[in-house]
Amino acid sequence: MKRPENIAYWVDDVPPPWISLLQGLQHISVYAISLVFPVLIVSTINAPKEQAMFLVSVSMIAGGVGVMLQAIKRGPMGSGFLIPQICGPSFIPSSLLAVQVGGVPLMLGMTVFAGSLEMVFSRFLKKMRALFPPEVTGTIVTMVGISVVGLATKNFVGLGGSDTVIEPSELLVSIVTLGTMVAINVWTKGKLKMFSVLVGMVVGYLLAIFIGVIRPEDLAQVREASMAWFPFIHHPGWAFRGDMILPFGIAMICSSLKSIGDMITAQKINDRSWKRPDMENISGGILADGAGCLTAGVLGGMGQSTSSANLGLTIATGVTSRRIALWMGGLLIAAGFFPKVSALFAVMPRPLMGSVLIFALSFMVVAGFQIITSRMMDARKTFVVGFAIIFGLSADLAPQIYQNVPHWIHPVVASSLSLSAVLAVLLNLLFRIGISDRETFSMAVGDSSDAVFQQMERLGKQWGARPEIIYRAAAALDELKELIATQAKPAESIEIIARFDEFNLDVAASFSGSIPKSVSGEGAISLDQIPEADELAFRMLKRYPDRLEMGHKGKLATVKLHFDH
Amino acid sequence: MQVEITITQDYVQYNVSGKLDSISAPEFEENVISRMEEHSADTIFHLEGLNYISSSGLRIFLQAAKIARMNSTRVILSAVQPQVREIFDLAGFTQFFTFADDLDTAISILKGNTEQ
Repeated sequence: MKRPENIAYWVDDVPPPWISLLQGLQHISVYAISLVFPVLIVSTINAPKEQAMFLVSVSMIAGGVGVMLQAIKRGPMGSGFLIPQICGPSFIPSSLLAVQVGGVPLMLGMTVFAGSLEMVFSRFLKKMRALFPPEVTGTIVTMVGISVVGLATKNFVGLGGSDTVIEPSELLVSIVTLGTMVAINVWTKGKLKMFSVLVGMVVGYLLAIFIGVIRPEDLAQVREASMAWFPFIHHPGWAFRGDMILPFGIAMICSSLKSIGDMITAQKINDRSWKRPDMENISGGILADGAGCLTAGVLGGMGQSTSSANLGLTIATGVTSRRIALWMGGLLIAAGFFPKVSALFAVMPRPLMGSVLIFALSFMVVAGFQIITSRMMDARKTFVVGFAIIFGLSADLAPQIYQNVPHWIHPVVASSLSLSAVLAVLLNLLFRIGISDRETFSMAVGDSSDAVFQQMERLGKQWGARPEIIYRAAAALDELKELIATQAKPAESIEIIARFDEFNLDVAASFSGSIPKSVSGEGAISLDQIPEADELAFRMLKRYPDRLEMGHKGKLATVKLHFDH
Repeated sequence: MQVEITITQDYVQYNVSGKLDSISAPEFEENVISRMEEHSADTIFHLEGLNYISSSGLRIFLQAAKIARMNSTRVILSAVQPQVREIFDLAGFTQFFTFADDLDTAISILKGNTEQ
């Protein structure tokens, strides 16, 4: 890993305690947005108020455990990154279904199941690299940002639930909040920049109270909330049902795909020389993700998964230190026992939620684009990305299409994110048909470099290779061509076999004749004695690949070029 | 490969674009080296549009640097694309040239020198 620019506290850096504390609070202010989900779910069954409070408190405790499990790197557990967990939106449809059929106990029982299943799933991930090439994971990360457009913009203008009027005062709060966050992030440096969201939140809260967007009765709710309680005595128990396995299994897949996208993003933002997803690391991350979900189910919270908004926050502030996870986790667990604190977040006005989502998820949209375009694209990959986004968005923009699908598919079509994620994975599998990892072609020695580059770029796109490696391979072949052309009786053509897998590009060339012993391709260069053309060509041929082998096969000379990918 | 030549009082500027390889090198050599040998002047190679250079191309630049050294003039490479700059680095030729981020910088480097 290479330290990226714009990182103030890197993953293993230890910030001073006051920075960690404020960072922890800042992450909780973003985290808190997801607490509306458990409230929303129990509100559909008219559950007593304690039940909602219980779910919120315990979800916070489980979130605290989850963020800490994710940040550690002990044995197989954890990715070692700061990726907070939230009440996962992917679990909303299946959880709604469960509470309607069997109340909160069924939701908790099935969350235990989903968490356990995810932990098992994580053990097989290492072998599934082929399922997650950059165009698939990049699409998922991009869609994380795009799929919340409806929610974020409605909240931004103060719409949602029974509130159907855009009030000027709410707009004012939105604009001031988002404006503060952006202004601090763009035009300040150092410490203040690290807290752009927290400062924006505080300014937003104060303004909202001052101009009445947070009403006195909302504040009364905070005042009335009890100082401390022990939530677990309200635990309603667990229930299981066979027919819930499928919806929760699918929810877990959707949730894991998003978490995988988050983990790859975390890897990329923490490593300037990032090349590909580290599956070992993801596997540990998904194990922790599942363990967090399991904890929620056991203790009594909603299904958990990693939070893209919080991850966006780490990009925005340049603070990715996993030490923050300890502080945030500790604070969250404590908050679970002090309802007054969670009540303060529960009255967060919509404009604030919208502002934070828009601010944080902008970073995810761009991170997704960067992951997609880190590899060469051909028509197949274009369709994988394009179809997944277009059909995925239809879940939000044309939901009537999916009115009559079987209920177990609901978790997939319930959001554009899960639909695109599942589509991207399936389309990638489909389009792998007919791609060979081994290609043979021949090259005329009299060809221009354009011909060589076009040939290699075609292969690079088909394989989804990194453009800079393909460039070096093409340049090396061009130099081989130039070297052969300088010989007294040059061969007319070169036969080439190119092989690719995610880690290696091997190009084997053979031609009649030999590489002259008189050239070395080594040594210092001085202007006093400019080397001959063959000497220079050989010099470059040797320097492009990571490894070069030369030999003979009958009358043919062979040159094997190896490139680490 | 395309080459455009601009001649001013102070310097000669070559705008090179495309790929400079063994096919295009002879024509480029003809253009550049013979002119440099006949007229002694500072030279700017504006390489914004050049996306590849092979060893045949590199060799011409070495020759240009050699002639410039004999004539006590300067050779500046301006707006070199990252992948082409990497080829110069890989070859170990960086030391023979002055690199400028853009054309204006290249010109001001030359002017700075004439004022001294």
